[in-house]
Amino acid sequence: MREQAAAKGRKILASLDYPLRPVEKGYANRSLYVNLTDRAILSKPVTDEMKEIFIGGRGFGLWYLWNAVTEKTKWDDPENEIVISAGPIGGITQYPGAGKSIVVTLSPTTGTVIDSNVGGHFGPLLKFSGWDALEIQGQAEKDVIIFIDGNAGRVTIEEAGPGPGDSHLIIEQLMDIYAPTEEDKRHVSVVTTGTGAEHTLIGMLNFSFYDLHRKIVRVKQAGRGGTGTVFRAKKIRALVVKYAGVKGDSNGPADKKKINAAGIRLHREIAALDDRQCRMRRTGTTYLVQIMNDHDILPVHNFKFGSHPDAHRLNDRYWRTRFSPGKADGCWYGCTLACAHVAMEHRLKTGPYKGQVVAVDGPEYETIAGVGSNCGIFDPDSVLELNFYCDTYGIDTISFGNITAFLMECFEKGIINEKITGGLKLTFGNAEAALELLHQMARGEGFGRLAGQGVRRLKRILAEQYGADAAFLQDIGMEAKGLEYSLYVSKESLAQQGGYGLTNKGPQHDEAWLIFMDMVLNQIPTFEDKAEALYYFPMFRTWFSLNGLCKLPWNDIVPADNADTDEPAKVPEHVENYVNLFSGVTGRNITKEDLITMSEAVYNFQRVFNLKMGFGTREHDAVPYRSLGPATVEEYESRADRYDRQLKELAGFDPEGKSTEEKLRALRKYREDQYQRLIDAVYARRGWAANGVPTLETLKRLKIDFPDVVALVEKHLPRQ
Amino acid sequence: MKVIIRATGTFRERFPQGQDRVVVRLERPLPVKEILTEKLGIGTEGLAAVVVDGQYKSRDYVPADGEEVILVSPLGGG
Repeated sequence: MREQAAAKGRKILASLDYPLRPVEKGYANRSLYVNLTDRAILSKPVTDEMKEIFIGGRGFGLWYLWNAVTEKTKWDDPENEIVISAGPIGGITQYPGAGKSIVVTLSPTTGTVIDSNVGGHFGPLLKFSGWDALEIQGQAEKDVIIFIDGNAGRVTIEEAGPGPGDSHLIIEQLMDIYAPTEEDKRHVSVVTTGTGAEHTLIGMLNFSFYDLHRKIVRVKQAGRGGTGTVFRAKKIRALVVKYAGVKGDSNGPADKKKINAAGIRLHREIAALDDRQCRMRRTGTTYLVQIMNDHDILPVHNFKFGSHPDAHRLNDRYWRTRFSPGKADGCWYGCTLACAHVAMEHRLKTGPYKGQVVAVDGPEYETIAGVGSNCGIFDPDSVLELNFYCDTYGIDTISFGNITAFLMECFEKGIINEKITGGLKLTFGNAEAALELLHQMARGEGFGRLAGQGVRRLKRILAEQYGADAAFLQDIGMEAKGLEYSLYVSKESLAQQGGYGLTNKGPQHDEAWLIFMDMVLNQIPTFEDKAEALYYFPMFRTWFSLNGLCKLPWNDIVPADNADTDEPAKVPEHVENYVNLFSGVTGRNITKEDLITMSEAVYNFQRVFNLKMGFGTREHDAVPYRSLGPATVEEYESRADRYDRQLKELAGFDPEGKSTEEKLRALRKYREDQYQRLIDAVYARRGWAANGVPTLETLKRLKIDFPDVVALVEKHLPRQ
Repeated sequence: MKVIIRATGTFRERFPQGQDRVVVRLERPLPVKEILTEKLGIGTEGLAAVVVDGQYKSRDYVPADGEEVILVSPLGGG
């Protein structure tokens, strides 16, 4: 490899040779620590206590980061880390959706810890190369590449040298170097980002995998919270892992028969039922567009509305014709749910690669709703173009969609104008302006440079520099904790308002997605019901991120008789699968209740981590009013019958003869009160004090009452 | 008596082209699953939930005259 790097003019700055050994019961039992400041490369043991309490994946990331940073550490300080880990189940090939990596770092937009999960091959190949986690600290002087050769047992930090700045070109270049033959390509995964990550705070990371059928490199994204921005601040051009030899038992399972049985059961379900259920194999998550529109929860025009007459142009019927068909689109081996689709042969109409024909990974639902309907853009080609450029620039589509929609509303309200935007007519539906804004973000120029700061900072900037009404911007700017909202209108679901607001990292649906249970099916009508759901589901879903699992095979395919079970929302048969997978891999026999407790420990630890960084208390669980209800007269009047009825039936306020402004105020008072009552109920159920801090009893029950954790929590608990 | 059956999501495709709602005339009350299979010739496999007047119901629910029944297709969501 030294020769290979030298042949490409790449200087090796540091290296570590390490002994190869097999993965045992899901763990490599060591983590790779790389410090880019002093170029130290170390092997760190993974302890039994880490495995017992933090499990892996997000848990390992939180533990390493906790020990690496102080309460004063900022996202761009050298001591901040990027930790990537797959978790013990990650990498098995018998069960769908088992190739996830979880990235943990201090976020540029939230100021506290963020976790972001992603498909692609990096995490599993990292583990099979001998490492449960990759922990990167420090800052390089010049761009570097960290290369892990899992067959040679060698880690190198290499000078990156000159090269392109955008993801699709970086990956192309690096695949030529590290995977020169066709056979090599399947054994290599690259993590990288693009120029947008360098010039904005919303940078994401692309994790690659090789598409054997189409013979192209594909990417999945760790999108949330600015992981790519941290990556570039450390001057990392790319991470490359190479490991040849993935087999069904590479993960060293304790009981292979057990995981085989769970896998076969789910593979059969998918084969028999997916065509009649969500059709993930054919159109992935795009099926959600029409359903969200049908139920008035598809974000339109910066979350003002929940549906649009043109939404059908972006639904799965269209993507069925646009996605490349007939191939197994899993982003890790063995995933028969195979939702990672690709649109081939998109000719770019704008930007630095104008005229080139490219393949676009996705779009998935969140991207379609984010850069599409939420910005009033219903032209699928524009969505594809925005998707491609976000990906190659390393920009999160969810944050970009929110920022652009927020600015469009500000533009239409006259809060900003063409003089401020440098000539961009940021009206809803103007795809050309949205694309130019994106290109400016990537170049770090013009209004795009400002926009790339994210919604929270934009609220402050527009108020301070342009005299905007700060309270109004707070109402309509869809971020909480500094993270932009994922794409579901939560106005009519109190439980989902909590599902977004009472999260650890900010409003991302991977903690709790309760809209249907709550709003459509009305299965959780009381505060206690909602609190129970906001206890169980965030804990359950946290478990996926501890183990390297994808959420989709849990409930985007369900057994034929699932609707007839006692708790269909939990998908009991699949919970049983997870219990068997965990014990089958690790040899630790657990129950379905243990699964929740395992997550609860990590979840509460993350809450305390927020506390450490100056957040994590009740005031930080506040949300913009638009996530609770109609923020403007226009919104109210668009669904006046619904809101008038609610005022009368729920709030005890007679709307007859009242102005819309009066009704808006009355509804707001009611809904804000409901949200506070929900918070009380959820905190109590989670074992937290009224100010949102986990109690000492909770810490002890979960065995995370480490001395520094207890000392920190004691400072923040209300005095008795 | 008559019952209105409304489809959402992928269930729409089991309805006649372009329709998401049909009115079914019944001589006697029937459970939802029988209305679907016997009166409309629509299979119930993949039917995740039935909603009537904003309330979750089982597939055995017997709608009253004039009620609207919403068929919810499987949905993992976000």
